[in-house]
Amino acid sequence: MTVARALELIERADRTWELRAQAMLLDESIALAREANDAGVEYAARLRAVPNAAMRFEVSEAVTHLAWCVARHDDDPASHPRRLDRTEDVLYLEDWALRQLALSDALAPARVTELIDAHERRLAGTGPHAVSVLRALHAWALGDADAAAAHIDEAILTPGDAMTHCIRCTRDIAAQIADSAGRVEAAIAACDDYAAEPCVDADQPASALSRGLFAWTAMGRMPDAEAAYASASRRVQARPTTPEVLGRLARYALATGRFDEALKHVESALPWAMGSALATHLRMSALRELAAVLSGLEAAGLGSEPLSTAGDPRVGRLLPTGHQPWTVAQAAPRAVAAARHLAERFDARGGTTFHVEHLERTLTGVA
Amino acid sequence: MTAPERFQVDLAGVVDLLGRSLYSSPRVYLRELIQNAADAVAARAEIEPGHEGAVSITPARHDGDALVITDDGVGLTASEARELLATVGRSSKKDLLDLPRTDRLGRFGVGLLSAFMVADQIEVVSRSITGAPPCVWTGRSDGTFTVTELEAAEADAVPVGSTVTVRPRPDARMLVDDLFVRHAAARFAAHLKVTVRIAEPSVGWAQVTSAAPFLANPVDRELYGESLLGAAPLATIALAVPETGTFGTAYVLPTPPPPGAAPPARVYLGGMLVGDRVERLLPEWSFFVAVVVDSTGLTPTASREALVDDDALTATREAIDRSLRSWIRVTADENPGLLRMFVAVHGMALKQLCLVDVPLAHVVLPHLVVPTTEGERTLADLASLGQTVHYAPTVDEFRQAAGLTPGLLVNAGHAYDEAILRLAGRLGIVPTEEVDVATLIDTLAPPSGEDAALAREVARRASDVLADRGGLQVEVRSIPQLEVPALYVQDAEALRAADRRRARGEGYAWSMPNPWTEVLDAVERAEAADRSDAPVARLCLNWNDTTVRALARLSDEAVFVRVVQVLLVTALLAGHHPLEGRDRRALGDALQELIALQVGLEGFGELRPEDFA
Repeated sequence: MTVARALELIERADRTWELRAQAMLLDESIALAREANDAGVEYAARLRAVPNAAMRFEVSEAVTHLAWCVARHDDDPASHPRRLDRTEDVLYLEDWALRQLALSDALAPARVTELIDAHERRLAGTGPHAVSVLRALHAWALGDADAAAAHIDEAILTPGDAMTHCIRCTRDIAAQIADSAGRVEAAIAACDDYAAEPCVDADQPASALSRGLFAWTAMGRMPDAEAAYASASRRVQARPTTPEVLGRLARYALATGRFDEALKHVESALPWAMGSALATHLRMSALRELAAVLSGLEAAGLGSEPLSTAGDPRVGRLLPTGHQPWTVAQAAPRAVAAARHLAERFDARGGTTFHVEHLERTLTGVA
Repeated sequence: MTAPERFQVDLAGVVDLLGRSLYSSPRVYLRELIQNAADAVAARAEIEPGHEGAVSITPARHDGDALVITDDGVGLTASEARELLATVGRSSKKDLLDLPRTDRLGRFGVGLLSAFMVADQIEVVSRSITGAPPCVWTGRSDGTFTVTELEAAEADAVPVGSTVTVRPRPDARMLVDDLFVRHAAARFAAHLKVTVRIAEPSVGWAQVTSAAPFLANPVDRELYGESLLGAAPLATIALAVPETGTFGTAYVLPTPPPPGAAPPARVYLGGMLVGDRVERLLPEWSFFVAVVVDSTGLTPTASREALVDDDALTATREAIDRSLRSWIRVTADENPGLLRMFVAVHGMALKQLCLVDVPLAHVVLPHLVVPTTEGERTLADLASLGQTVHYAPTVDEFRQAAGLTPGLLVNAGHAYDEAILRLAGRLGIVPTEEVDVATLIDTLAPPSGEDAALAREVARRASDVLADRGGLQVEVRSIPQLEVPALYVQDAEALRAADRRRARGEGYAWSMPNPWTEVLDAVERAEAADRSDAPVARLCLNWNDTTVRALARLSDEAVFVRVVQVLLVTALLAGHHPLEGRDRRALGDALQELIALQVGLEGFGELRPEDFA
């Protein structure tokens, strides 16, 4: 009875489009499967719960479900195969999780390398493109831009495989790495490559287009930058994965004198800026952009503008809710301090000054 | 004799690619050929204003017959015919698979190529409007083609325009057959601007094309919607996006769509069907409508089965978005009865929409329905209470808090309800306040007077019993309105922490350790660093319950332990928390001991039928 109910809930979850509703159904089915001590049903539910949590960008939750599945798969691959009907491949999900871990400072660098090596061994040569992307992200988080660029170039030259999320998105990562290292020409080349073959996936086009804004402007390609800004602004949606993109659009709007638009982008980004506890690189990047644009808005005389989203509980970790209303001028130094703290943490972990330098360049308007 | 010339591509490979990668099915060859013919007629009309033209189709009726499609369009010269397929494959893959075909000849060539999915040989007889001599282009699937200019005697019989003859392979005979062609032509080309007709043995020609009813008067629109949905739509909304030449109708579904099913988004381009479920035309939240549009400004992909995701599509989607929102606003203002029906059917879509459209939320929120301890209520009902409305943010919290909260409590655990109630509070529609069980328990008084010391001692001893439960706090409160002896409460992070312990293998008989244990530790640290307080799990014993009070007088430690374990299981069950193996064992052992005590026996093995007499 309990197992039948758990299976029914899984089936309902498969037919449910709304992520939170789907998560509730899967949580309940996991609980029932556990109660019935049925590891097979629990595996089926958790294997679905990983991408669900990933799409909600609940990174810790996704990693927890995945860790359970990886252990079951390793222990008894016959009963817990890599892929079940209507689920993603457990190794594909592992690749997603490793991307998040590579871009987090939660694990020691050596341990991340070990996990990527282990993942590569499991793939047994079937996912070289994806592995190169993982190594690029890891090197990037460690502040080793040369190694990151080498790995991402290697990925671009390696055909996509079953583990590849999207080859075009790899170009976006190449642009991100070049941009963060201040390599304008490489960033432009990557953005141009991307623009020639845009991807229709959710956030990636806006991310890639926003990446080119300042590089194209620096090269005098204003029409390209303007078109990219218009297109990215139309496409981008405020969600857990986009606060950095929104921040960059805000910074461009600020630089081109569209203060209202800049403020609007900031308001959209703020609730997502602190994001998942594990996704520290994304948090650092979002805070860096917001720090720059808030400081810029203050310098432009908009320091007394109130931030209406500051009352949102998700913003509370950056701008505590007891202090309403927060203004641009009050929020700016907090964002700068939080961004600097994270940049220093990443730099200490990698033994470089890469992230602090990137922050400084952004704050002074050079990046 | 004209010497055969080579295609510059591996035609077999290209045709295979078309069948497997570009088109969804070989049947679309007919749409491609009709589109080619219609394009040719339209091109002639540009040169000769007033030229109406037609596309005539003669399906195969007997074995060995060919399908013949004739148009009186601009036609081809011999040199144009040579170029038809010669350029396919010169450009990169993306031109063939991803991007729109930009020039008429290129479109014609790729369209013609699709016919190789059903035939090994295709013949095009054509006379160009330029006055050039007519020619015959014959292409074969072995990768060769010939172009022959016709001699004067034959040429005289060829009018301006083109005739394409498709002689099917035996395995594709059905796809040129009368029945198939009739249905497919009606499906694809029903609303083409150029007249399309099919040969009828007895009556001559039957016209396929007619005006699009979804662009016609309200009655025809409604009837079309009924045939589309299989039931009368709840409402009909006219759509007009002049800047992209897109016009049509949105039909509000009379029933909720099945979960996960995308409602119809039928798109015609210049009257030619692109597809019934075209993606990215509609805003994400609009799953309560089926839409049918015809456009002259949207761009098809190479397969003509989808739309290119460009600025025109974005602008169209945004305009449809505005039209649908506007309809909801006007309906709320002018037709509350219809809005109530709409809310009853599509409440979830509306809730989602209100979260991103505050002006709309002001209008719609009062009509939305939420579940409460007193049944379903609209937010307007709640506002009329004239007091702060309390809500529990999850179903679990609701189940537990319902017994602790005096007055009405809203269950905001279903999709969007928590955010909707927060928004309603922020907009001043109804004052709302979130409740959580832990806080509610904190507001309850612990036993006082003589009972205070007894209750503290019960809590201390019970804490010792449950010391292996990962920091579970035990406390005793007086909860007169609660009918259960104990309440188990976990905050969300405590639930997640418990799941991480399970992911490490706690509670399972795994034969090997989890290789991701260190990752889970890192998650634990990261989550802890993000919190200002520690995750909490609490067992609250109800001093108003006789069993709990009896604990204070229990001196037999073994019995005390068993009762506390059973109270925990009871609380877990009451809160719909899952039971672990040790919980089930504790319950089973307690029952066994209870029976043993009652019948004075050691165990079930010694029971005899007469014991139950």
